[in-house]
Amino acid sequence: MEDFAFHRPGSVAEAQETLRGTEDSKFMAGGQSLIPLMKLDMAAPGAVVSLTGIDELRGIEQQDGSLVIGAGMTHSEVAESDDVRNAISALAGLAGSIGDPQVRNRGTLGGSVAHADPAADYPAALVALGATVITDRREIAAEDFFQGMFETPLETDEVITSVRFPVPDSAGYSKFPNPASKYAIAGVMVARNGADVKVAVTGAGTGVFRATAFEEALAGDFSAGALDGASVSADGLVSDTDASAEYRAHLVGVMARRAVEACG
Amino acid sequence: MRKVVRRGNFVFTYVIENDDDPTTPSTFRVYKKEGDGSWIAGAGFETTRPGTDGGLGCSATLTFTEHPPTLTTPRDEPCRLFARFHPLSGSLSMPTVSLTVNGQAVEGEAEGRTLLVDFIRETLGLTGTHVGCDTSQCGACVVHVGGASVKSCTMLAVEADGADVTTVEGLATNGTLHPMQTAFHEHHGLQCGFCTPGMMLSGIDLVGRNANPSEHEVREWLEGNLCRCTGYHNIVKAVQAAAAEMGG
Repeated sequence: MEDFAFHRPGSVAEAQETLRGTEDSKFMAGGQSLIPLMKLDMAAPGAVVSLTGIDELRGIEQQDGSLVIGAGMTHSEVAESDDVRNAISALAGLAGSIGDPQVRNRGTLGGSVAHADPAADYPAALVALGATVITDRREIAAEDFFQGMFETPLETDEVITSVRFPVPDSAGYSKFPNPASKYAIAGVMVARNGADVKVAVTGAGTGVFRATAFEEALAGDFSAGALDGASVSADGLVSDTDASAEYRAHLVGVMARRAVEACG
Repeated sequence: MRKVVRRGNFVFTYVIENDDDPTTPSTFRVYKKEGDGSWIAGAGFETTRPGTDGGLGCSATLTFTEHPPTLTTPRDEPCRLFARFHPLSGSLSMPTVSLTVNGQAVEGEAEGRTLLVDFIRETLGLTGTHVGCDTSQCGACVVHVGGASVKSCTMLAVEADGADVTTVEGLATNGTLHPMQTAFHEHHGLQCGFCTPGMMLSGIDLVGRNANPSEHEVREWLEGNLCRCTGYHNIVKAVQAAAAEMGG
């Protein structure tokens, strides 16, 4: 790993000032993706600006039918939060299924969202729940935020401060994980609000996407059986050593059924 | 103006990319930072960029004797300067990391890139924390930071500045084994022992959150700890027995 200067400022404004004042610098939250990338020299920032010392990025609160979770909250904190469990238990369950306990003790919501790994769990939750990514300067709808593999509209010096999740009537998440990394080979989040159903898929494609055929089938009959005969196309899905595109397409159907059943 | 700041004496390798005028000398100047934060010009020197290969990938090695040095080049775009510093042995002045380890205040120097596990093993000499995979898979390096188990191969030492860290050496008190250690002993929860420190620290974190974990919950929790000897059965038994002993 190349060496770098390290800063841990106490506010978002100070973090941005530090980032702007140092060449080739990068924000880091829990570091569970960035540190491994730096070890491989796939990232070699001249300076790392840690976001872990910023109180304003922390906290979980209910606001007008939504749950607002600070970007600096770890996966463990989200998974164990009574507020999250009561409002959107599927979201708590999803956070508790990321990586392993030690990764969950360091990794954060904001870090995962900003990294936008195509096999990460959170993107499926954000898209299915119709969440909004809140930064220091604007609000971005989840569907506009995830633009493909590791692609987001974030500016270099932009910091995600929180994510606002509208509380649905019900939601469920099911994934088929890579047994080593626990990243999703295929993961499906289903969220229902009355007749409006959103189905978001992670891990199977080059970025999170909505399975509109499933959404239409579930809008009329919200049951796992309603998905009989519906499928997603293998075109454009990822094919690698874990699974072929065709197998991923199959898994998306199975995970979608399980997610619907998990909605209760 | 690009500026790179490091402390200490260094051999410095620089690379200029996209240099449209490779024959123009680049002047590098060493600055010294004063107590009030201002920078005072120190010994300057001049070097001519070696080579004429069109601007990519040239480098030179220079030795700084001034410290802490700041490197600047007067050339703005389109010249891009990338600097890598290679510390010379025995003359480093690195950031100091202060933390509490196993109840004792300790401090030591660490580069930005120094991993917490290397700081624990090499700077503090606590070699009970192991490096298995170095890719946050195996969990041999698990320690507690602020009471939560983390993989110390995937955390920087500087991130632990000010933190309270517990390693396997801190589990026993006054020669009496921690209940988790006793349980691993009694249930033969180890063979070669390489994964054991991480297993125990992970297990203690679990019991702190879930006083009476089921076998299934223990197995799920140990997801991030690999054992290549035991098949996990006795490890799971040990964690459950320790939980009972710890008051579950």
